[in-house]
Amino acid sequence: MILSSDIESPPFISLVLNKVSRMLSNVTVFCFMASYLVALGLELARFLRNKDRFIRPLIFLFSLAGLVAQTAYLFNRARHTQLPPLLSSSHDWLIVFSWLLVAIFLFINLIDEELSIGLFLFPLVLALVVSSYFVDTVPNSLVQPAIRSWALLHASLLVLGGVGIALCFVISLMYLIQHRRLKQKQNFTEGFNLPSLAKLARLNRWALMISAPLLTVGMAIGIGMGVYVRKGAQSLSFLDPVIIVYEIVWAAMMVSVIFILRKQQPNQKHIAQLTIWTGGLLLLTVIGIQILTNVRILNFDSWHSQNTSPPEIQRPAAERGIS
Amino acid sequence: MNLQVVYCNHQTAGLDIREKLAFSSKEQLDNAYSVLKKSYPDTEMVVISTCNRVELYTATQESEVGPTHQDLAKFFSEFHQVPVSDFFEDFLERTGPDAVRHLFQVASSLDSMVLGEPQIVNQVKEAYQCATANALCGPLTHALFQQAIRVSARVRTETQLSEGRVSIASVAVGTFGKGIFERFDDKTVLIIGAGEMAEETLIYLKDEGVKRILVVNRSLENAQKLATKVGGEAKPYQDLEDCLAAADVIVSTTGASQPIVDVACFQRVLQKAGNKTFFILDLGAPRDFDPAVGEISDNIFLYDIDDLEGTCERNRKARQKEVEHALTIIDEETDRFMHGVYHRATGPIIKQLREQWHEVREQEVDKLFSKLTHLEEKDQELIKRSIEQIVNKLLHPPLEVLRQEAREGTPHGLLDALKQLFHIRD
Repeated sequence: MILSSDIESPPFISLVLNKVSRMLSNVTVFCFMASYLVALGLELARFLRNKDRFIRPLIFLFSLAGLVAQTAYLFNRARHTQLPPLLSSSHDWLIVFSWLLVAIFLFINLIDEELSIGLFLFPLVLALVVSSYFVDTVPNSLVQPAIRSWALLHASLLVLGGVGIALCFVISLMYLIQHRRLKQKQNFTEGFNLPSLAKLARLNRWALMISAPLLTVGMAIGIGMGVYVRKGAQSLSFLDPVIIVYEIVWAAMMVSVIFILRKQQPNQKHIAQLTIWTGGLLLLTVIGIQILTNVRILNFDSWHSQNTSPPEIQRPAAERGIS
Repeated sequence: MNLQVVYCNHQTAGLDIREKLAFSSKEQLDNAYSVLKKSYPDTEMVVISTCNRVELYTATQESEVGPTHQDLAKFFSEFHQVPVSDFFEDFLERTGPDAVRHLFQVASSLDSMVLGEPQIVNQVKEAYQCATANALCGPLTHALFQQAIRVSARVRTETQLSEGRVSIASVAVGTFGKGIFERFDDKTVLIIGAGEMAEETLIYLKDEGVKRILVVNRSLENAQKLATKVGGEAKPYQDLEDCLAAADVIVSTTGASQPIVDVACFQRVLQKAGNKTFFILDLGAPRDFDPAVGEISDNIFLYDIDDLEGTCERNRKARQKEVEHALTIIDEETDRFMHGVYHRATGPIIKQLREQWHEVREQEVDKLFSKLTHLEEKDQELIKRSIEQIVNKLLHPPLEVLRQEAREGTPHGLLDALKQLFHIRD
């Protein structure tokens, strides 16, 4: 029997806290990936089975559970590496990326519970989480204490810009689906709701306008850091495939931003198509090239994929934090 | 007695067929009535022609004299210059109680695309008034249409069919308009036509926050009347292209027999308007916009009546319980009406037969009393009553059989037999 005095006593609290901490420290990528997978499954069920008043709270619950688990995972990683997640490794960067998307999903879900954005966001989130299995979990040794703040800014801007581009991609996809429905004069099922074309066009415009400067500044800081690192003991090649691909896609994205700004009454469908191509390409190539260089399918040295790390730290992807 | 309806509606035929068979103006309908009157002088007729249906109700006292389904199809074919083969499969026929039930369903908006819409009962009333003005209504159609209007009121009162989205405009804007535009308060709405549908659409759009309304109509006077009513701006018909260019939402509800906006016209509009988004709602039957207008650009969203069918069906399913309640009322009213019709058909025969037999009874009683003068008044009364009872008992079996037969329909054979057997004249 536990007396109230026992409950209030400091040893009991510390015991509980220790237990929670131990429990949270056991959180793996699989935990939140499973939560998001269930949430996606429920979104699909809502789409197929029309309206069901029990499905939406369940989606919210599983997403929230996943987010809590993911936060605990990031917290543990940061404690383990003694670095903020964005600075730690490509693996952590991708986990932060997906964390932000889930947080945005929950926020949107609170504002508009009918919106079927989960159907579009969860596949992206899961793709990011799955991608994180294939990239390095080892902290980047090139991030010297002297440039740590700049590196953090560089990574933060890129991740925020990336999230913006991911949203542009999702919004544009929703635009094209809504446009197709309206042109073909069809009805959506009751469980599938999208905003109006005007709203989607406006959101897409804003997301692009915000992401483009974030990515540009993030990239500029990255170049600055590269130049700084080259002056020091460690060298960085600007022929890094991640950097080259990123610059190409960034240029394509800037072309689309200029295209949008240039016209007073642009064809929104063309903008959506352009955004899907550039945004999709950016996400695919930046994440894809990191995976390819990490698993050594592409035989390039990449600063971002940490091939300069000591051999003993580099373990095969399958052995890393999967369990 | 013969009741019949031939029809094609949104459930049986596409808009391409309906618009060919529709009577788009009063003049055209008057012409149709005069042709019908010449061909079938003894037939009562009422035509209901709306964007969702073309129906012709016929009623005759004698079943032999009325037009057949084929006759009426031939009339539509010749009048509208459309081959019968183009529409006959979609041109249905109902007779007797089925025809009555159909009209009651139509008037109660159960057969409407938008369940519970209030406009149809006015259209039924107008059709009935027009037929009356053309001297094509008779006792049967008078009774039928007056009863249909009463049934519509009963369904409206006793069910909840009229709650929620109950107009074409609300369905169209809710399903498609709100998928295109985020808000309507900054949009310019152009209404082409100044009829009841135009007014109803404008009222709905005003509720959605629309502030700038342009009304264009061939008759500027009618446009001004509607514009004043809804707080809009009337424009002459010659300014149609400028108004189209200025509008974001275009609603067309004219009774034109040909499209008033074709591809060439709208391309000129686009040159003035630029690459902006248009939400066009063509509620005309025949259509006012050439369907190809919707294909000109990605930003033109053109919808006609039939494009709303999917949403209306969903709406109908959601209110299935109310539909069932309304159908029960309609079945009850149909039985009541048919009973009245049959009673009306058998009534004169029964009355004549009774009168004839009682006349014989009185003649014979008078003869008897003239011979038996010693009888007291009290005895005379007893004899009178006794003979009357005999007559009633003898009349009861045939009249009962007649009544029973009349419940299933007009017993033409039995009535003819009674007329011949008892020398009853019409």
